[in-house]
Amino acid sequence: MILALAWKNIWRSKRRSFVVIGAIIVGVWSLIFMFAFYNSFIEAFSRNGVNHDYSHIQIHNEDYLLEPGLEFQLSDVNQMETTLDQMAEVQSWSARQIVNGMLASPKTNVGVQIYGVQPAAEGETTGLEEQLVDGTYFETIKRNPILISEKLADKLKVKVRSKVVITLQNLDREITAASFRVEGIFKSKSPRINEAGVYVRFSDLSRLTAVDGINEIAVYLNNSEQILLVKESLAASTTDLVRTYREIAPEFDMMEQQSATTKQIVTVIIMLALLFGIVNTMLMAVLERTKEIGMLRSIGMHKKSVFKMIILETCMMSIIAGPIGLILGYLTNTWLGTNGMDLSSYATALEQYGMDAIFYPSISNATYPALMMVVILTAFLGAIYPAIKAIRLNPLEAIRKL
Amino acid sequence: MNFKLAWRNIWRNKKRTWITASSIGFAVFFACVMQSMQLGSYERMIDNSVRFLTGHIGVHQVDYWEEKILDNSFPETAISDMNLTDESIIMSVPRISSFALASYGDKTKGALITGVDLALESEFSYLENKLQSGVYNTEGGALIGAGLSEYLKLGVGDTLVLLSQGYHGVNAVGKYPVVGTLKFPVPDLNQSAVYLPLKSAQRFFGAEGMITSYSILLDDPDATQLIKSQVISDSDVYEAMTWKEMMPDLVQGIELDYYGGLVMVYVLYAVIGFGIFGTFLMMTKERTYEFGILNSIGMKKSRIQGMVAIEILLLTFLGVAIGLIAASPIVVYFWANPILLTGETAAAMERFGYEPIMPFALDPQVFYDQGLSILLIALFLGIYPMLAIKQLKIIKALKE
Amino acid sequence: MRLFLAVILIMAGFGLYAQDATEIIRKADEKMQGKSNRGTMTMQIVRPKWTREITMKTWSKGTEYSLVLITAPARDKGTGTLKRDRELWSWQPSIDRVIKMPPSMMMQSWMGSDFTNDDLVNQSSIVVDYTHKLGGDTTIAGYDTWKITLYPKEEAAVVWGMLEMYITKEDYYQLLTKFYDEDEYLVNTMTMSDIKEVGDRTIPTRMEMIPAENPEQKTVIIYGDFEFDIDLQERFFSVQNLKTIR
Repeated sequence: MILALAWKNIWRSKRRSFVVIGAIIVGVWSLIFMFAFYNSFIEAFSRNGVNHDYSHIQIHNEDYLLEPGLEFQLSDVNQMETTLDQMAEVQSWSARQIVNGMLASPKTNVGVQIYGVQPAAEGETTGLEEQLVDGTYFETIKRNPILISEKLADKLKVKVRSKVVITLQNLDREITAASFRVEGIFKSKSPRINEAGVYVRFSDLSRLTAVDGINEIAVYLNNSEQILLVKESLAASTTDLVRTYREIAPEFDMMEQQSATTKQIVTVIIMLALLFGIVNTMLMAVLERTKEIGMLRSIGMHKKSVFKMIILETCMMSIIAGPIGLILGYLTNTWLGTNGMDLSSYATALEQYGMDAIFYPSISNATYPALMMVVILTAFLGAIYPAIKAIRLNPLEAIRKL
Repeated sequence: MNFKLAWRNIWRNKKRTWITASSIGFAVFFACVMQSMQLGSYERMIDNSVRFLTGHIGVHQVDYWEEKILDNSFPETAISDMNLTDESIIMSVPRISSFALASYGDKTKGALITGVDLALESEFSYLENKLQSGVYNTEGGALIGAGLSEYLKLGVGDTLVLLSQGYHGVNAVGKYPVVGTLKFPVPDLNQSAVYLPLKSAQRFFGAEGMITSYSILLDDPDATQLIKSQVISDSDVYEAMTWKEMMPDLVQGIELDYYGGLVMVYVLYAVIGFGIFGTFLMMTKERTYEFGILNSIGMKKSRIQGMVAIEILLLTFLGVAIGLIAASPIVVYFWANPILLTGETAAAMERFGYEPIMPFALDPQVFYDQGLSILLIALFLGIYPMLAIKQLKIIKALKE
Repeated sequence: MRLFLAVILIMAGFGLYAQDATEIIRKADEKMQGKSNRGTMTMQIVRPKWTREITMKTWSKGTEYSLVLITAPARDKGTGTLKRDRELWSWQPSIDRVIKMPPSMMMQSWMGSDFTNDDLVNQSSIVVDYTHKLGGDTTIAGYDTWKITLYPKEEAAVVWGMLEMYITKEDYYQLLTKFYDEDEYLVNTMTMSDIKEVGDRTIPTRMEMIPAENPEQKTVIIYGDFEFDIDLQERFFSVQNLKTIR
């Protein structure tokens, strides 16, 4: 009965209802979009971090953390490699020898971090090959090929096939040097690697360092949700330190925390704005209907029912509007999620954070019902004051206005 | 005449007036608070970086910024030739910095040596607040980053050996007792910073009387450009740079974030616009009868429009004023007492080198911009009642 | 700047590849270096805005061992550098300490000169790292010279693409050396002049190295008194001796 009354009320004043419904639609739609955009930001950041730099999991000697040094090698590489090969969750892994050294061209020298890798494994794990902007990937140069970043190539003023000299301190603390030829120039999605990372074949580096140990294994998983599971089982099988990318690089957590805080703030502000709009519009509606409410009261409608009617009317509008906003948001996200959002005009700023200029907004399905609940709650809260106003109306006085 | 009518109309239905005005006021209020919060975080970020790194204006030898080596330092005496009289200049500090190897026992690590005037620096960059153990003031000792102290396994009272290359390539070596450790939020700094008193650092680098930078702090960052042009008159030996020139990454990062915030503000405008539109809609509808009567007794539609337009204008001004008045104390309060964050967010921020606070900016421009924006939105939405009056049909209106 | 490589190159012996050219370079080198030597040197670092002069005593034996002691300016007096094979130590009398150069220090210049510490230790590989070819004859500063072109072997840890050396037909003086990168752009030019009697021989005593890109800056080395083929044992080049030698 009251439900029907409330429903009718909504359609009696179409324009007013349109205002409330429209405000909710816009609010919900933009919230969904903003959430998805923040997500895409985080996602772009961690995607590049995981895909092109840290991978999901890394294994180091515990002492390597305090002081990254050639001498801190993994304890039992063979067994670890067998374990990794047998794990179904592991898509690929790359074992690296890492040593700091200097790279010299006729023009200048720069300090670099030299990664000795198995080219195929490294390519599968960090997609190094796809990031080449010039040259080839360990194919053409037979003796001592090296891949360097575009940034380093500019600094050293070298190009593909140029000769460079690596100088490093080997395990016996002797300074050794060897010439390498630039086979490829890459532009990594990781700012860290762009700055000072160079890649050579493991066999070439281990000849220079006089040791064939491994300092780091990076593990890329088929499914990032299994990360903790895999970490636990790897940690159980070794004395070395097994860490996820989040433990290695605090910026991921930082970004996510910040994004979560921002989402909360944004939601609260938009909902407050919505709340205020609802309170005002419903208050107007109540005032407008003074005589009508007086009538209802005088023919015996209970205060409680009047209160319920106003609340129901408002909530029903949110129930109509919410899904429309959600659907619009869903469609927007689906479209942008496939086509991407182009922020190329900020490409240079984004690059510094290791992000591509194209964003793919996306959102987890759980967000939709959660937001729906928030909207209904907002409508409910927004209706309370007008509803109280409605029942405070003196029925006699209200009728007198007739 | 119109104005008088409009004025009376406004106060005839006080409830409606307050509801409409408060809708507009609310919009102004939220837009102001949000923008102040956003700008506040930028201000804090800029202030931290400016105080710690560059100053609002940094004076260097012309080649220094391109190649940051001691050979591109300049004599302290050059400061007396600079024009530092502008009252917007709060204070300035001389600094000399370069890299060195820090060594203790069998451990050696690269370190960033900065020679500073400790007394000035405690005001300029609040260096003294970073003290973790030991004492701050020293004549011949060194203050070192807590991370560096941990790595080298030396504490207050131990002797640090520094080894580097000084001015014009001279041999730079020295022994310095560690008098205090400094805890920096930025890991890089924590693991490599060594502070020496200015004189002592100059002696170490063989650069007596030389500094690499002279950093100037302003109380009005907007004056940066102007003062930059005043500080040095026509010199091809020294150059003054603004913090924006020295920290382009920071500027770009802020810009990107600013536009993100702008999207948010637009959404807020849209949602609030609906609210304001709602009240105008109701007002028009409620008064259709009244307009009909006025029209039928001979009042021209254009005059009714004029009257309503003035009403809307008054309502909007009232609303904007309410919003500004409501927002001011809150912004001022949080400007003086920034919100302290807690929990995981705070921990994450701290780990990343940020203070876990949410500061507010107190900038009249924010109030002006937001007030004006909402004013324009309200006036734009005010077109609806105008159109409604234009299309008024007397017969239909009187039936209401 | 990889100037020191150049100095070393000239002082070092060369492999037997192209007989004539190699023989010429071997003789030229023997002239400058001897099997061992002891002497004094002055190094001038010339920059557009300033000049610095360092005087030093040096001892060396082959390419493996060398010891350098700074005698001026006063600030650096007594500072010593010892090279044994591929290791480098620095003696700092002002803090009474011997410091073994860590890798991070290797790229720093040695005593403020254009030579890096890395240049000092990397010299020995040069010995076998080039092939040489005799080019045409030229006249330089009134001397008849051979032009010899040197190409680094692929596996050599050398940044240069090619070197051109001009050696006088009489007395084997190395008057001019040009350093090119792999695109055959000139990077550095080294000249030797002031031919004088030093110890038991007559040699050029002034060496200038000028980078092609910054012709207003250079490093000059002037030989003072020198003795060649003296009796120096390996044990002379010890950390202990580094601390005590005057």
